[in-house]
Amino acid sequence: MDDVAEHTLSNGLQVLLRESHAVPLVSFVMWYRVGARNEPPGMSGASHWVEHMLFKRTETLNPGDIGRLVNGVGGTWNGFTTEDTTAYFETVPSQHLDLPLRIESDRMANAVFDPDDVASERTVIISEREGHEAEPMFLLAEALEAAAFTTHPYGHGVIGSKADLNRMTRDELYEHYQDYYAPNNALAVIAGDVAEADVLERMEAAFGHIPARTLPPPLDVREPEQTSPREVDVRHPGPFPILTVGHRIPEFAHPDFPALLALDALLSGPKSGPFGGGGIVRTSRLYRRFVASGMAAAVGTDVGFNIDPTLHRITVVLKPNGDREPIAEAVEEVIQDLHDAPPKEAELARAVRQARAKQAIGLEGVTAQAMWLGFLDIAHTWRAAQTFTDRLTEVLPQDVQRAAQTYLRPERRTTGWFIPEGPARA
Amino acid sequence: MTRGPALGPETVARSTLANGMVLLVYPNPSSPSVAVAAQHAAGAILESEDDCGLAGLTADGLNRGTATRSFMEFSAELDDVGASLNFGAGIEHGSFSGRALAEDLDVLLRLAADGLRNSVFPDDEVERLRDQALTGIAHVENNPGALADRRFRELLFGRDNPYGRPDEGYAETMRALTPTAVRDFHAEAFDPASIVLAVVGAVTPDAVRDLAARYFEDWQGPGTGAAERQRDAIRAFDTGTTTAGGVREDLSLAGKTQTEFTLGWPGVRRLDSAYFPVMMGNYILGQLGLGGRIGANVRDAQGLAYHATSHAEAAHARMPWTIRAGVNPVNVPKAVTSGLAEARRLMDEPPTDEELRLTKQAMIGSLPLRLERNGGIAGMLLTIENFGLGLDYLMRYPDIVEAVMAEDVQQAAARLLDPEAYTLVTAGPELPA
Repeated sequence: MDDVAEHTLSNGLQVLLRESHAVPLVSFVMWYRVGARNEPPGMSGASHWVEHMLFKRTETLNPGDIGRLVNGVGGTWNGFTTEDTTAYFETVPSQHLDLPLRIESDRMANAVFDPDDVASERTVIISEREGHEAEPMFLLAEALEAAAFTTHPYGHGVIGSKADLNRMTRDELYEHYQDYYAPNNALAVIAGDVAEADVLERMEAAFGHIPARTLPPPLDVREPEQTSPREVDVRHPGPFPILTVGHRIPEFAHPDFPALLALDALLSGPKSGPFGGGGIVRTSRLYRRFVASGMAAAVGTDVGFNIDPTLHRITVVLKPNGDREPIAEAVEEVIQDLHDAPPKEAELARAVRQARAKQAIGLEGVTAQAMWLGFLDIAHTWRAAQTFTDRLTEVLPQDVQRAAQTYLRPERRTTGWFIPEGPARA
Repeated sequence: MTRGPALGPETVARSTLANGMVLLVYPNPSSPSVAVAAQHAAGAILESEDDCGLAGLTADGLNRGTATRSFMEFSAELDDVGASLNFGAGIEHGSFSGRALAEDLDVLLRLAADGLRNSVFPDDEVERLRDQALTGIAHVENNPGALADRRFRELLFGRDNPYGRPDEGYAETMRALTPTAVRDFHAEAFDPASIVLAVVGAVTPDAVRDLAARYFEDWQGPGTGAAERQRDAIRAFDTGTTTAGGVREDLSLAGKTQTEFTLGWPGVRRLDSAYFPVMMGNYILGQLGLGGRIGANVRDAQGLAYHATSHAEAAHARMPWTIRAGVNPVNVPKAVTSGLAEARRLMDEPPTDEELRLTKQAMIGSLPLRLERNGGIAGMLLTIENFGLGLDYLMRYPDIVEAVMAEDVQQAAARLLDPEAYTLVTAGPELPA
């Protein structure tokens, strides 16, 4: 992705701007460098809860105002929290750019955290969590992450444990907000039908008065080296067994990451971005082995685009009452094939062509462009957007084999099973 | 609307092939890609009760082997260029949609035509698809929100009405579907004269027309007359509802912590005069901001739910107008009562000037966003054709929205909502006594 301008305001707020005049829209995404990875024990879910509180009250905004204001100009909005970041976006007709600027500058500095709002949002978030608990995939992922990360906060999930959600106090949440919501810990990405000089002037007017702050020391928690395979079973009422095989892989900035992305594309198809997406590729190795053959109902993979060392996951959804043993063996064989021989050049080239097409299609739209730039910058640098597919093109078949031999090893593995147990109907 | 010429009669090329297939093309040179979207008569409306899930299973089988391509060969041609093509079926229509780089439109149309025209539905592939469908149905039956929605429709419309049945079928009907049934449905329900194909992206109308003619124009069957049967079935089953309301069911699912509920009434047809008042009333009731008035009440004020919203659907037939939320089981009575109180308020008093102003601005102002991507434009073209709205529809749209008065919204709500007589399904853990 070319034509990205980078600026930093005097208070340290980083600004990325991509002009795109195809449609009269602008997307504004405000990223904070805080997520689940910044949460100490007892505070799991704090970043996500703070995100919720930033839709509540400031000195000028009441609960519900942000959504009504943005919808009221024909725009769309939301917020989300991940392991590494908390982000807020508004995509609006470009003549309304001042609205996201006003909202984001206000909540960067002036969120109130009214105790009554904190209390009602506590039960809302517990309800969000209980909604997730209806999904076997959520229960399995939570257990797998807890087993794979014994020390690093990537092991406690983004939404947080129910015990922490019941315990955390208003003052602790407010402190988390004050610690991390500073212009020098934020990144504003603007993509759309706007002019650079005009945007910078408006950004300075909206955010320039918010002072920089001393940030908490960077997280220095390293997950100890894993020395043997781990296994975790989740036994719970459910519709079918699910297998997830996780392997510890390095962070996004690591030089081996492009080879891991290529390896992943061979398994299930290229991801069109950090949200996954792109759909399963039916000629991919896992789809052919498990779904086209009729062995299982669905497959997928996931690669973490993370700041810290993370997981690659292979997930197989079995048919109801499906036999687990042959599935586990077949996953082993697929991994062993990657160890034993480099992929054919034609297979790798096809994966790269798919990645290029999916990128071009996936990055239509100003929201997707602003999201992509921000995600890459949170993980490492937005400049990766300019080289993303080129770096994939440079991956050689032997690089894929070496990545498999290095990372898809038993001693880096955590295997998780969701096993239906008990009656489906209460 | 896209920068430059707006979407309208001057910019959309509409043509009809010799076999009756309608083609709509909107060139969007600002994009490197192309989106294809289409619908046709082979929807679940043409299924019998015993064959529930047949339209979807047939659609899924369209890429599983044709006279000249195996499933893997079919898939490889798409995957080689990073394109995607998916077939599906809803209640009223069958459909397909695809995305590719603009230079690969040929691949999309060639394969779409091959799948629609020449599928052979090999026995083993149909069996695999049936297993996959059964896994999907097992998921629905284990998911409180999906299960509540499914049972709500059954109660509202009746299981003997296609509008009351799930697109994906039931486990017992899916298990009984045979490859022969799939082949027969393909032979009877796929009518080229019923296809509307929209193509949007960096393409020219002439080039698209040439490709469509090459791959589709000599196709004459086999399901001649399916479009008429589809229209007749929609009329026959558009009975609104089989219940007068006052029906409630509580479904228990083991291992769940939250109760999901769907509560509602029959709503409107897309072509009813009350369509826009209902859509605006619904936006105020359960969409604007974070779930409209229901979200403000149930989520923001009471902290009862992460999601609490309302939904108004519309098709050729009357579709439901519902309130949905997920809450702790002990809070079901409070959340239901609050949702009904908001329905009552919409019936008893007109929306405020501010609510109406925001809603109108949202509906009109969101057009650029809805039409930002090629897929959004293609979907809009299908809607315009499906309901005969006219290619000038988007030019008239702001005036249509602006003409709706607060009293129109109140009257539509008063006619359709009823806090005393509604259909309610809850699904989740056993409810406290």
